[in-house]
Amino acid sequence: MNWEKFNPLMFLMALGAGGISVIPFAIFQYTTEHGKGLVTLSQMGTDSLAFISEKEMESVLGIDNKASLILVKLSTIGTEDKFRKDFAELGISEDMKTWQEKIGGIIGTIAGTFNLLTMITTLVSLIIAAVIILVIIYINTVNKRKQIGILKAIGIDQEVIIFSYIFQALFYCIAGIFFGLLLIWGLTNIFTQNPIPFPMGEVSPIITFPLLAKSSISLLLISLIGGFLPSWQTARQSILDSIWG
Amino acid sequence: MIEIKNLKKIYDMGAIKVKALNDISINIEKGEFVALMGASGSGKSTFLHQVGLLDSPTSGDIIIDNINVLDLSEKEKTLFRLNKLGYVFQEYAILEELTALENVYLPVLMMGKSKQECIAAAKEVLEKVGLGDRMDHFQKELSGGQQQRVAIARALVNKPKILFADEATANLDTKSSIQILELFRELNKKYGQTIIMVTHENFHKKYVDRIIYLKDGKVIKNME
Repeated sequence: MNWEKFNPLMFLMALGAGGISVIPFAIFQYTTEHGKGLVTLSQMGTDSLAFISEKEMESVLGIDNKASLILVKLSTIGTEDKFRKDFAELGISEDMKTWQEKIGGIIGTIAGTFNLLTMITTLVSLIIAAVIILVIIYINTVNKRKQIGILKAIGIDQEVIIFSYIFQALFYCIAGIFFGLLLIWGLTNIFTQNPIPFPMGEVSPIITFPLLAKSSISLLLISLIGGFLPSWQTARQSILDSIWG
Repeated sequence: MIEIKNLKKIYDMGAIKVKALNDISINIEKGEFVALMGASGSGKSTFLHQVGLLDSPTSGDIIIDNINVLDLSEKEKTLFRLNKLGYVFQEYAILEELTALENVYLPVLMMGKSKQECIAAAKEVLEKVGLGDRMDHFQKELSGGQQQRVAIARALVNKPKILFADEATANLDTKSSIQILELFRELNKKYGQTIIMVTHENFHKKYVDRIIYLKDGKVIKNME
């Protein structure tokens, strides 16, 4: 192996999905004759390790086909438990940990903090969106109060008037969702290409469909409320109050 | 056609009770063009609002086509207004986002008719009010008189039994006012449209069949 060009990340990625990497565990004599280069992944846990080939390790330690730790790379996030079960069914009784359990500790706390931040920003965004839609529809209905009164006078049903404003709110909402998705797509691409460096590794956002669906549905629901409340408040006024103020 | 019995409207202003309509009883026949006149505060607009189902009187009866309309629910009143009554206000209140044609076919659309039927009915009535060449124009492209004609066309499109006009020419210059009054007269004579109009202007008298003068909520003169 050409140690000058050795890249542990490339090495791990080259294993492919489902590949098994045997990482030897031992205290060994490591000299400058064996070390051939320095690599960095901006990931504290990896950068503090020394990598050698399996053959070299066996020759140094005088062992054959033994390992203290086996890492399994999966192609899809979220299938860890299924694989653990599959391994158990194959009769492997050793201690098995998912990556979340393995890294645990501070990284788990950081991941939890990120989730909390996501929740808070989502909630704040939804509240801001609700207030903006409410204000827009409120201003529209107040400005058109006389018109609403006259529409009611000529026999246009109150529900039709309210529905027209809800429709307006939904239009703003759908436009907002569309532009929001574009923004998320753009930002996700940027941060995937240029991840944010953290001591424990580089971080890039993962946007999942359930998260987008949940946010979009929440926005639709608050738009319905934001459209309904001000238009209902204006449309329920008596015809003469609406026309003459 | 319209039978009004002992109509009263009293506004409760706390310690003071204002009798805006004080026991009015009159009849208006089908095909009549009636003007309601009187000084400000005489009760003419209040009277029009009660008969036009835009407000509810304190007591009395309003019978239109043998239906005591005060017995109707709010929903039924909305339908009654849509089907049988037409309104023209001082403010034209046509929707600026819609063309003249779209503004006029809106009430027909509310009756559940197809778009083709709505357009046909709106075109017919816009022709009738002399706006056949302005159907696709928006509010900002129409003069005040033309906007009021659109409002009149909208009021007439469902072929109402009664057309109410509340100072419909107040925002117009004399020339446009005369055009609107002549249009009302034509609708009344040619199509037998019943019209009840609130006005201040003395020169409007010559266009109507009957003038009802009100003062302090009472009919003081009823002139043919």
